[in-house]
Amino acid sequence: MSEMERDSRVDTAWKAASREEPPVALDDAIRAAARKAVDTQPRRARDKHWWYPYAAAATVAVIAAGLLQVTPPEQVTPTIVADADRTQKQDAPAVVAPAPPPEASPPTMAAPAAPPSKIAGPSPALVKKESRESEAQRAAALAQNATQNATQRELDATDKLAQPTKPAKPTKRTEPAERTEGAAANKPAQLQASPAPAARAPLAEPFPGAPQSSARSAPVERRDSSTSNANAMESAPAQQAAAAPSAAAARLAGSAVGEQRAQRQAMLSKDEVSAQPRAKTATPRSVEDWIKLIRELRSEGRIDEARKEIVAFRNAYGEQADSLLPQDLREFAPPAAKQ
Amino acid sequence: MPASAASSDEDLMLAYAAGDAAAFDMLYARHKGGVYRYLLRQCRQPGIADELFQDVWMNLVRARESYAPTAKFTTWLYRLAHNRMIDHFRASGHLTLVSADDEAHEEAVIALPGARSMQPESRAENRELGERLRAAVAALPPAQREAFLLQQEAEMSLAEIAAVTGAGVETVKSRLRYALSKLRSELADLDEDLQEGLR
Repeated sequence: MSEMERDSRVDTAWKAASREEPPVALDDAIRAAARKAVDTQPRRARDKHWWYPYAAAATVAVIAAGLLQVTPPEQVTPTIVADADRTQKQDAPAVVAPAPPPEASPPTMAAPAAPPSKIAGPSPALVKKESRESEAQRAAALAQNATQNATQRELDATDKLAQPTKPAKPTKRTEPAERTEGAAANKPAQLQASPAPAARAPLAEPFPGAPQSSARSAPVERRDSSTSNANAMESAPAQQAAAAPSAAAARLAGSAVGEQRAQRQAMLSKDEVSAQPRAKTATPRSVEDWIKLIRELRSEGRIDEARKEIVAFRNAYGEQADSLLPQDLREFAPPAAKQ
Repeated sequence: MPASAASSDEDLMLAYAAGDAAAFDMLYARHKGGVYRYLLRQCRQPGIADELFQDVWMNLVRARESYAPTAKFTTWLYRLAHNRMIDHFRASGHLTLVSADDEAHEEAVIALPGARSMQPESRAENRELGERLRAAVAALPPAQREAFLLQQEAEMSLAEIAAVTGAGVETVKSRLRYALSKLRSELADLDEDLQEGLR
């Protein structure tokens, strides 16, 4: 620094003239604050994240609320009502239906009835009661119902094949107990009046002496809707056994329906069967038995009944019906007379 | 590493940032006077100077974890003080730190008398000298006064003053010339008065 920017006389004079110091109290305050900042530093660092758990909980709550808001309640309620109505309609033929064939084992038929119970299990009053605590479950049930409907639509094309192999009456009868709560009030009476279907035995056995309404609805309510699909798929082998006639018919018909489709078909067979009047399809019949029955009717002179059976056979097996029918029966009731 | 009296300002600041409160005490003892006088000469009111002084050191305490010894500690410290003072002037409505007469009076500055060695004076003369010098510094334009104070109180070089004030080195050099010329003139007048008083 040159002489022009520095003057020793000015420097000396200034150092002699400028000697002010900050007040002692201010010194103490600043030192104390500086020491306090350092002393409290580890604790502050530790406490810095105290709000993380609260933030995480709040985030989860907001996401859950958002998901519930995305699903309009009017989409859930009609589904429940529709299922309840459909189940009530299913109840009538189910009660009067004959006992299931021996191959439809009761334990295997009770398992797939669990998923729909969460869809329409609670009655409207109970829906209101449980709506606050099971909004998420209802949303999951709604999604499951949509999936099931899609699968059902997908299998509509193979309905004709599935019809003769639908010994799913027991399933149909156990379903209302788990699906609708609106029907839950009527349920006990129906269960008592029904001719002891084998498929209902698993539900009735754990609570033999309990009141009908509570004893039958309790296990239904405890079931988790989230496991409905999983239960359905896990119980697929059991349902496969129940739907053995269906699979056998499919193989006999030479169709390309696979084993997996047969399983899904068996899962949905209760819905399919309940939606159609099926006095004849209630009793499963093999191709040989059917042909034998037709021949017997023809030999007994009951021509009209024999032709009706052939028409029913054609309706059941569709395109493959003529290939399955013997030549004489084909000529006895040509396809033109099918309709 | 524990802080000691031989440690540099930067080491002391790093030690304090690491949690050594004693390092802050040493730093504070070294620089409290210069910072305080720097602020006091600028705002000229002890009460406000106290407030600004406390704010500067609290800012240092808060910024300790982000301190990096990329420059001299005094440069960083006085920049904190400079910024706090700017904020104060802005809040009070009279921000006049820019000196407009730097280049206009350069020829007059060159013609000013040079440095003279200071002879021992009497006590009254020193007191008189101090008062007139403080008054002369207070009368300087703010930018010149700040440059002079940084030079005197913080013992800063031209580059460091430029870093603190945000001005160029040449600008700082010019400001110091103006300031010193006026102060020399004041001292010359004081000498004349003293000589007349002795007669």
